[in-house]
Amino acid sequence: MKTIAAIAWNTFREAVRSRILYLILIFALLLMASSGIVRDLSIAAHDRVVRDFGLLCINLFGLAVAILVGIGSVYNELDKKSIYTIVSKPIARWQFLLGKYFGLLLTIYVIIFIMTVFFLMVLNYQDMTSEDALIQMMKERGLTELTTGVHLRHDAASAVKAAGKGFLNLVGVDLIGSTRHITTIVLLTALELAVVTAFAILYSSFSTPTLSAIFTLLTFVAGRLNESIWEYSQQILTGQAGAGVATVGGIVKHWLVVLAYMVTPNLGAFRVNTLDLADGAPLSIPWFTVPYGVLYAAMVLSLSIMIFRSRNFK
Amino acid sequence: MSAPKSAAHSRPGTFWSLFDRPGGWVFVAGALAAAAGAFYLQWLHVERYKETPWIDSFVLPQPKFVRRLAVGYDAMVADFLYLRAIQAFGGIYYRPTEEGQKYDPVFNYFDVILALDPHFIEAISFGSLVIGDEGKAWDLALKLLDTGQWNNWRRYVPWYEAAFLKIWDLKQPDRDARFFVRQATKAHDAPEWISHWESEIDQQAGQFTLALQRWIQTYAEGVAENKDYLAGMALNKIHPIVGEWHKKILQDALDKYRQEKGAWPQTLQQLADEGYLPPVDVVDPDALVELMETARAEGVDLRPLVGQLAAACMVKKSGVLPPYNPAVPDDRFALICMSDYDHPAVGLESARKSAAAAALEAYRAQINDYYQKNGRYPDSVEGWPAEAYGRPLCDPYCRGWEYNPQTGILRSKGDPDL
Repeated sequence: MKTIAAIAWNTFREAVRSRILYLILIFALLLMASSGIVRDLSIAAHDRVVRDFGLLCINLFGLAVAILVGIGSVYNELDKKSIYTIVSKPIARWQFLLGKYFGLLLTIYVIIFIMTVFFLMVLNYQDMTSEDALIQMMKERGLTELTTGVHLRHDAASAVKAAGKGFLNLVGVDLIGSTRHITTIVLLTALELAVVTAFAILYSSFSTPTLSAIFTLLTFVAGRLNESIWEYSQQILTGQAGAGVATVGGIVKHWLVVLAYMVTPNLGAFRVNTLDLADGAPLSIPWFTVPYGVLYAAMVLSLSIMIFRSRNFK
Repeated sequence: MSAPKSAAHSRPGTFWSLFDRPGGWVFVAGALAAAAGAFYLQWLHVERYKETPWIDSFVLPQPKFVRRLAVGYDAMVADFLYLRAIQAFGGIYYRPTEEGQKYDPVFNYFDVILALDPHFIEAISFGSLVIGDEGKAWDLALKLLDTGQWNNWRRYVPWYEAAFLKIWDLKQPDRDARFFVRQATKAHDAPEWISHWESEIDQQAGQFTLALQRWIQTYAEGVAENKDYLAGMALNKIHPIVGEWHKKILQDALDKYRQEKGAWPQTLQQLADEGYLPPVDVVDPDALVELMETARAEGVDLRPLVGQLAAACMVKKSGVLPPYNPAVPDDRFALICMSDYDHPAVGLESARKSAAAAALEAYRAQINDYYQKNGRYPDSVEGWPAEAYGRPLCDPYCRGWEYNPQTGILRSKGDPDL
């Protein structure tokens, strides 16, 4: 365990030295900070647009980190021959791979954490300076129309207050409408990225960074469209039923598509039903979502370990 | 050994060193010209987009394909399309020409948006406003709302929007309208006032007694529950309902007259004189309001007395009602507003259309006559005396005429299709 932790910590330290990580982070934070522009473009659905925009940033940039940092993690060790120093020590290959995985995950989660806190601050700041807040303030002061001196504060004090509320929101305290389910959704994103990172490690264990990036991205897309693969398998059956003839070719095709459905990860499982968000009801997440994510990542990592064990480093 | 550089020369490799040689100036001028050209051409593109704000809605793939292309980021893609639909609406709204004000293509955006996120309530509401209320494409708006309703049956908005279109825009107080109102009322987030729309349906459907009873019921509940706004709203509805009731009586009489005589009567008096306005039972709204307020002042619980209240104020009326004069309180029972147009058909939708068509026909004949004589169309038809009538003809919709002196085309703003 100590060995894995040490490798993970080193992987994290190595990753945070990467400039690309900071570029991604700065870009993501800038985008989130500018979400007010998107908010102003909308009619009625202000909170929703900003929420979706921020969650998209967290998901996409988290994915970018998983791919850009994850794909080279194992390959670079082989390329720089530093793997020889590692494997010559009493470290098993599986420990090395798991250490890499958890190090990468730690990097991604730190990035996600920073993005989430910042996003919650932005949401709180926008809430504090919104039209609704102005109307509320007017109600409290018994005003029916705007007069001189009645305005919301766009200043450092408001920003600090929003920052404080952002941290509180993170632990489920002092939630407002727009921040209500953010933490849960981000946790699901983190689980999804755990599965994607496992794939990045898998591909990185036997392939070049470019190919690994392509494979990981394609796996992500296939995983997101997993539901469509199932629908296609059902369409084949429906088509056969409609024609009134069940051909062997059709049945084989159906089962091949079902197989494709089974082997691709169902990343849609980590998405939240928009009905829950629209209703403001508690999120209905199936109990098996978390075990599914953990087991799937474990399965992919096991496969990586098997491949990595049989690799010849010469 | 190279010659020492002039002090005026910039350090080699810097931006300013470009200007040390004539070629540098040419290069910079060329670059600026290229930039200006590129920006100008880009601006031409912007102008092109302005011309057709909805054009990209035609190239949107089918909703099921957009769902695939969104790769799980359905909500965000729906948001972006929603923002685009808002922009398209704005573009159309400010289009100066009538031809440019086509809202139907915006439906494509909303169709895709609801495929991506069927629970996007704001998009359902806004889409119905744009396509139905503004664009008058009622069938498309109701189609959009239908998708919204079955995916959000617990929310009041899709039902409410559909009821709004049916009652206020389409004026179709049918079973669908009633169903929409009832579904909206059942929703957990429905505002209290929605249930009162059933009274509006009854009123539009000609069920005036029922509509009155519903408002009396609302008044009684408002008084019992100390909801002054509710009681006040109900009280304000009594006169308009009775007014509509009168109009219906008059419309039936006019229709009967036209059916039997083949033409509209010239005046209301003629209609009455020829026996088309027999005595009928109607509620006296003043008496009803007075009775309701007296009962309230005396602390009587009106809820069990709803049916009796309307019956107690039933009176028989016949003949031509005097013009409405708000300065005379007792005169409020006269409800046919004829002050702006002296044709008896005013105020009645079917007859209004006929009156507008007749006025347009008279005007157009005179415009053509003018053209024959002068070789051009008149500059304006404002205050133009119509020979056949000896006075200007008013638009029965009270929205005025729309006249183009270049083409000589005259239309009624109230019904441009005429």
